[in-house]
Amino acid sequence: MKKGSLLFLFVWMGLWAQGQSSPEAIKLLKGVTEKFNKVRDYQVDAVIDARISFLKILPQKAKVFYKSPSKFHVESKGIAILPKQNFDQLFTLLNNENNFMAFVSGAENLNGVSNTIVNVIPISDTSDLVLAKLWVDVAQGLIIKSQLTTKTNGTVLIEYFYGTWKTLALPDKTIFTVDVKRFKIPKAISADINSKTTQEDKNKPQKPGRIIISFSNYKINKGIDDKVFAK
Amino acid sequence: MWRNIQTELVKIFAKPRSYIGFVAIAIIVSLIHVAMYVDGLNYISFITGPLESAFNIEGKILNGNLVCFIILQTLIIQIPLLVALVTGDLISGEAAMGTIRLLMTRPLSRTSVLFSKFFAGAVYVFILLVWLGLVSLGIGLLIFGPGDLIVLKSETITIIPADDTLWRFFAGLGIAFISLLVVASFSLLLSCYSENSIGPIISTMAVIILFTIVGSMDIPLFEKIKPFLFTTHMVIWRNMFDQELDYPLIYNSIMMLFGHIILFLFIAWYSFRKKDILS
Repeated sequence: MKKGSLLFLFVWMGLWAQGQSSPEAIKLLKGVTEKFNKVRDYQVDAVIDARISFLKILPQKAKVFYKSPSKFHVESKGIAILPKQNFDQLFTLLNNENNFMAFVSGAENLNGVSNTIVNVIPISDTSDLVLAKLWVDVAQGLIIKSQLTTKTNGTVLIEYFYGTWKTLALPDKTIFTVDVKRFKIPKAISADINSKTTQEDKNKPQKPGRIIISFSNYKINKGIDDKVFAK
Repeated sequence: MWRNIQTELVKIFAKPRSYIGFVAIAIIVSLIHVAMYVDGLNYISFITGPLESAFNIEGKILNGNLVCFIILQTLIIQIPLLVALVTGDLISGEAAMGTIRLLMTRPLSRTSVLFSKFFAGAVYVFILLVWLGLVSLGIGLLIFGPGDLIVLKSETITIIPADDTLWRFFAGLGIAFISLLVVASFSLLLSCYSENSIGPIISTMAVIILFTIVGSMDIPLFEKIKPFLFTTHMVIWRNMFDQELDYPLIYNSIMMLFGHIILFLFIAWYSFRKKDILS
């Protein structure tokens, strides 16, 4: 968190000195958002697979609804664990150039594909997002990976895997990697008197939690009633 | 034997104290249902709090399955007292009232009398658990509806799909029945040594409380004796709510519970055969 704030401060000071975003970064991000902006609404079937060390849950089927510019709703029959960040949150920010400053900070090869790294800093000081680091596949105009540093939820790494709807920047699979704290409550409260925690267990480093969401059966721009989002 | 059991059941249900358990369960379950209906979401935010700090939880968290699980978790600790109230009185009650001498004038062996009382006690425990299941799960599902069950353990949270819960509740109540038979046989054993009902009832509860405290403390000395305490195995019903069942552990605990029942009944039988009923 502190690291994130410091990074934000240095980057912001650098950009403030320059006075504006880098044109190259803005051009790249425009290419990315243009695709997603063709989507007015979508409905998609999702399978949410939460892999968190202290949580035992089977993959859960759900329906995801989105309506431009920022309406978002997830409907599941059972209990589903989702990341705090909505899938469209990044695009909502990137849609207005006045909301952020951006600059190119390097390049990285991911799975044999050359990506440009773009750092995005929201201008609003009330924004929960402190810094977004985006890996952009320039050739396809797609965000392949993003690292979001937030005030309330630490750092979240999101990987996007595209298939059928890459022309609209809609992924087939998204993997969220989130830092999680160790879960522990007193045995007396949980009435779990037989559980044992060894010193070895206590010393084990806590693995980050992963939420893998697979999407299928996209229904794009078919119109969605606002009532769906009021649920 | 069946006639003897019927007679013993008539004796049990003729006593007002036998209904205390049913009334207590109805009152406690109703109170929990009302409290959950009014302010349940606030209460369960305690369960979901650590998870919600990092993730969003979608779906119906407050449902009949969760409310039933909370009730069972709360009541399973108290139910041995309700069982001991009846089974601790089976022999000592007769001794206190002086009817044991009259009972022994009938052409029945002492073994038959003792086991008739035990089986009648077992029927009482069964009916008590059916009542508990009916009011906690049946009415819970009617009020709150079905839904996925969140099971809280000291270091893990398990979420069980709604359609996978009913058989687990039945199995859990089945194991609870065997656990309560241990309590019934233990209080029957103490009842054989006592001339009044209070002693066996209080002693049964005292032993359960003591064993539970020893079982819940992570002290190396206690770790060695924990596997031999029946209270360690009485809570194994909760393991029916693991996502992947540890069958060897559950089987071992059930065998330990049966072992305790046989041991307590054997000691009770041995002492009752030699019990002086003339004093």
